[in-house]
Amino acid sequence: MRALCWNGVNDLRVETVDDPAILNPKDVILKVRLSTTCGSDLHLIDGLIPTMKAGDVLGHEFMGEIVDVGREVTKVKRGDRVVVPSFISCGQCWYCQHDLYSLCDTTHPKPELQEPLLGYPTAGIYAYSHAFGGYAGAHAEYVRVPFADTDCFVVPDGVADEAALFISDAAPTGFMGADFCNIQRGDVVAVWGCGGVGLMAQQGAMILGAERVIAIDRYPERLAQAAAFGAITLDYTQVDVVEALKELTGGRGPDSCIDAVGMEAGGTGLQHAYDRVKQALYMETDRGTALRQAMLAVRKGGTLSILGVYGVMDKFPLGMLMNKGVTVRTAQQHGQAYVPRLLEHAQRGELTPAALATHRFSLEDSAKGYHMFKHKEDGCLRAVFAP
Amino acid sequence: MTLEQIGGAALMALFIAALIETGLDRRKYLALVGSAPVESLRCCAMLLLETLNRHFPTRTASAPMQCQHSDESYAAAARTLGRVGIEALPVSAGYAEHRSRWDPILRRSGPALGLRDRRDRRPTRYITGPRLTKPSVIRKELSMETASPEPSLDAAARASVTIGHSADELRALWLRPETQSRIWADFANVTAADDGSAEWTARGPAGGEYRWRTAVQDADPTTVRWSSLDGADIANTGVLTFRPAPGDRGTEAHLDVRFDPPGGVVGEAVSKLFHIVPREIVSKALYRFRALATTGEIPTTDPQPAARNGGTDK
Repeated sequence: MRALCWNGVNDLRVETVDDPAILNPKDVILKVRLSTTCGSDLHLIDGLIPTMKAGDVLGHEFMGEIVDVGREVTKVKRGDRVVVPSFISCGQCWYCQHDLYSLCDTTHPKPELQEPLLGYPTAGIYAYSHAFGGYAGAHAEYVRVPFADTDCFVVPDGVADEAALFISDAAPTGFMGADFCNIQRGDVVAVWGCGGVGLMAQQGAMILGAERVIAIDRYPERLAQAAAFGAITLDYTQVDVVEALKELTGGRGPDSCIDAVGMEAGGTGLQHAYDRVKQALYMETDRGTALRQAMLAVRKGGTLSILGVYGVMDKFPLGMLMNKGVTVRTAQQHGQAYVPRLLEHAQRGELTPAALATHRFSLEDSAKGYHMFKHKEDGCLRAVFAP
Repeated sequence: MTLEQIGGAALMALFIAALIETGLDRRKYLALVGSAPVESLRCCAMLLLETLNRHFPTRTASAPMQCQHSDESYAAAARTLGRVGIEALPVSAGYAEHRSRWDPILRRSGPALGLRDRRDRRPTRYITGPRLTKPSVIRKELSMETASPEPSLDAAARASVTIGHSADELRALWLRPETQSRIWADFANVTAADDGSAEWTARGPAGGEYRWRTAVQDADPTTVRWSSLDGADIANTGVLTFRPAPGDRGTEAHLDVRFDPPGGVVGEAVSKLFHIVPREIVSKALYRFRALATTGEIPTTDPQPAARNGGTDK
């Protein structure tokens, strides 16, 4: 089959690789219909994550059609059109049973690589280096999906492929960030970042009843999309964000702040990723500008919900959180807990993730798609690949 | 002595030489030091040292050497190196690209220069092998060095996991011959029999093969204890103890394995023989045991038909 392979730093090529096969009885093989880029892929492409191997197939956000099933798969069947969260979860361990799917205790084939970093291994992820499991990704014609009964969700009629695609990762991650905020009547939620996850967090906050959602970014086309979703927008290059948020909330500050920026964009654009590589690995100087702003802006006793991917930030003003009594919630997406609900919201038109798909490419052109996504050319929000 | 110190000393020597050369005339000195050849030389040295420092971390290195140079100075350095036959880089390239060109050279030349990771006194897998798997390298790469203690090199290794089943169920699963061969698969080929005896074959990195037989000695409802029999290449004993976990969490499984290899400092010898520390052997076996008990499967990507050259992910 054809697949987009990582061959080294900034070296992506579409190559012919072996087809995946069923290895365990609860596996299925998916014929990929659509897959998409994610900001966190840029860590891999830029060489921030050291346990990549030449030839690794990228792509952790995808949907497709089941073409082969293992002998112990009972709930899904051949021909089903399904969306799959990016974390592989067994559904049976203590963590899965407590809806903490990305912390699954049983799906990491190489836990010894991750335990020294985190204390305990997390669930495995598709295409996120060997320290995160070494599973092959989905920028390919086919992908193997373990624990299909837990991880494959049938897409209902009325939800197009392009909408279902983002219910793999961007939508559940964003929605989970909003869910962390425990939104009450009258709440104002501020979201840093208007990429795929940030926009989905904004829509999620609206669905969960936020009175007002404020979106912060610098790119006009992204802010325009946030405004189209109904958010109040702030361009942080034009205003003092913390002052503007006070103004917008009558001096109270947002009840909840969601950081959907992290280290992949740093709030100053993906084209600065090279600088970020240097900063992250060599200098460890100020990063996480968005996170600091969010800490300062959030109201006393409010909630800080962190979705941005952080690896190495070890200096931040903890005292601000402590003295203000801020609740911090964070996680990689517990997608399996949210996907059924999100598919219903999409079916009813309340969630419109298809808006994220600004650019479409064939799988053969996916390296070009990543280049465009990385450099935000032509207002690229997400590049979508079809095999 | 760390690479930073060596690099610092070398640079200092360069500047002292420049001072002498210019007869201690400040203006001439600055002109010389700021001149293109010297600046290029300095950048070459910094680039080389910085990359070396990252690939061959030393225990005493407190922090990665800081990169203080613009892309332009790296590009200039790269051009200079190009003149002496090392592949030059595009002038406007970013650091990531520089690094991608330098990595293979340094990885190959490091062991030849006698550079080794001091932590386990052998060339890291990151340097020598196709596997980019060494946790200490990952920690260093992510600057998370202080997050966890060193993997123990002691010959005795313990680990524990909690599994949502009763001790009886877990004990029965553990004693099933197929379970033994599956959970230790990364470390050794195990052929177990129903009577609790087992044949073990572990392979070292250089083709060495070590064999031993074990027998389960006693087995009360909360303990499985085994020991190698006479004639073992590497004598060892193991104890698995089950304890009830609080609340409805199931059962805690505590595994304690001791190796006694022939001669020498035992723990270090074990990690040399197998290229895996005992702690890793034990905790991975338990991880697999928990996965098997919980889901009936052991997570795997082997073979993972995903990459070039057949793509087998060992």
